[in-house]
Amino acid sequence: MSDLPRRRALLAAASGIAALAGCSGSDSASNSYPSRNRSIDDYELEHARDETGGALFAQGDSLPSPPSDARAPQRRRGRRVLTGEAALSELTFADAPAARTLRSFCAATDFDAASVYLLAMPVGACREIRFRSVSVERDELANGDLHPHADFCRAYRPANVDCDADETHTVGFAIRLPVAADRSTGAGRGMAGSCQGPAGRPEVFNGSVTVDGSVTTPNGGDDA
Amino acid sequence: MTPRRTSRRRLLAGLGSAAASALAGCSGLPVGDESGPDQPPVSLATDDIGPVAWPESPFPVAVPGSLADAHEARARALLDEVPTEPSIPNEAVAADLGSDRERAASGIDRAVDDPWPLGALAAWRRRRERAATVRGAYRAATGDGDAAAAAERRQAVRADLRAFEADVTYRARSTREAVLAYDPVESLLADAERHVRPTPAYPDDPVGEPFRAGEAVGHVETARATLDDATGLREAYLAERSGTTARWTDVAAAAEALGGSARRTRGAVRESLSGVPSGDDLQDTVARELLRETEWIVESRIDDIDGAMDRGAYATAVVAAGRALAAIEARRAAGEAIRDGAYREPVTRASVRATADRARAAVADIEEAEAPRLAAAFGRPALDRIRYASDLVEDGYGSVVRVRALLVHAVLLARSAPAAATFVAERL
Repeated sequence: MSDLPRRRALLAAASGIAALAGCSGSDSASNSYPSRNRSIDDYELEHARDETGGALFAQGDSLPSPPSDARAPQRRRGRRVLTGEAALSELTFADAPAARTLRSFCAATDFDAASVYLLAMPVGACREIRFRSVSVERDELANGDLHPHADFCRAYRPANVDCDADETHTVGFAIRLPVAADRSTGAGRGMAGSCQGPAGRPEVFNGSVTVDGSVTTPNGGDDA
Repeated sequence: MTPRRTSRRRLLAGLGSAAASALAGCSGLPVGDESGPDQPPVSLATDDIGPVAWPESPFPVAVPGSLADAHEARARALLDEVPTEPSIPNEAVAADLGSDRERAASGIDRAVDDPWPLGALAAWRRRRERAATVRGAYRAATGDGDAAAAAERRQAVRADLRAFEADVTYRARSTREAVLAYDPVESLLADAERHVRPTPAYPDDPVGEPFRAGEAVGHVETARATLDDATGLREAYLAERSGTTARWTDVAAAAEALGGSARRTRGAVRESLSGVPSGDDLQDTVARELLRETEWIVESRIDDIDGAMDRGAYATAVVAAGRALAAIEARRAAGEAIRDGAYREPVTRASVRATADRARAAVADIEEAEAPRLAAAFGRPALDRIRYASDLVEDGYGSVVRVRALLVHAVLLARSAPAAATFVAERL
């Protein structure tokens, strides 16, 4: 342990915390049914809505120009995994309240112990996107590579919200994961058309019975 | 009221979706895109399957028109409460509510063409549910949603359902009639049970989730409508029959015995079919599809018996056992024919037409059975397969191999139903 760099040690520790948290999660590992993804339960979430429909952040020094076509979705989309200050400094945020909210949240992250999965996407003015769950790929994380996957769903905004069905807004999510990593070479996102039904898959019972009666500790996998 | 119930004459003249499609001149396919390399493309139309005259409904007395009338009146009253262009601040909610209302309203105005009255009743319940769902969503969206009232209504239906279930003693003139009269009643009770479950739950914030509120309301409405139909069917039967006595013990004993018969028959047929080629030797043939289909349905029917027995639905268990016996016999006949080399040739339009003709003849023979109502109940899966084959052709989906296998299976199921009915009738 002593010859491990501090960051790698934190990575291992953070992963262990995630593992324990994940034991009760929908994708948690069991002794018998290992899962590729580990659900993260102790994340922190910030989300914001920009009713002008502009881009919230972009890689590089400038934001894409406002879309002339109100429905052009690609300019409102964004997805970045921030594993350090450097990754954050490479982003440009819009000068808008929603973007400032996201940037403040990202900037307040201790990247020695955590990472941020940052997403932006377009949404109809009368609808909303809800965050459902987040998981990470355990094998990649064991190698210091954070591959998060976030699941969302689409819903109507409340019926008493005055909105124009033809307008498009932008929503952003910043998910702080209690996992330090050296890098991130991939990320995923799922979107359900409806928010009805339970989020995620049914939980797996993580038993610890042995034939000789000895006590084992559910280890949640091989990356702790 | 709109025209919706078909006369027996029209029914026997061949209604049902197959007939309706044929009359409409719908043609589908070329079917065959999913067939193997040995199967040349074949162009089929629903006319190649043609109309099928359904046998008379198994329910022993006339189904009162008042049951469907009540659903229609209720559905119309529910929709009357929803404006065609709802005024709701959220335009997306308003637009979707409006289109849901339009669909529900146009559904009510369409004729019901199900050949059996109980099928037509089911169609009316679905329409009533759609109307209730729209009304529930509208009330929720406009701030009139009431979670407590919704919960109270659900609980009231549940209590009535339990009371009715406890009161079912299979009063009938005979054990056979008890099976025929109470099988649909039990099916309705099971359906009501599914709809009275508190999922989806009525939302705590109906304005925030009006469509979920509507769905919850719609489910409870269907539970009530289904329970009303179960009550109405029992009343209709008892009103038409004198000298009825409780048949619970007899029906339960018959269900137990016939379930055992079905399992023993399955075992015997399995043993007799040793030497039937495996699917690997029959790639892309009707034989392979038929083997798969006939095996699957046998297991499914046995599961149906077990499920019905577990919930104490003994009349349903008897019908499931009869269908299982017919399915096992169809399996035996198919297996033996395939062992003798049948059903390997490519499908042609002529072979589909010939098989459809045989299916039609076999279905017609159901009415000549010694126990025609039981035979009709046991032969229903044959009718469903013919209808499904016609739907596949109309939609241009699937393969000609599958279409012909479905029709062959329908022939065998329909031919097996009368004998299975006699076997069951002798044990009731």
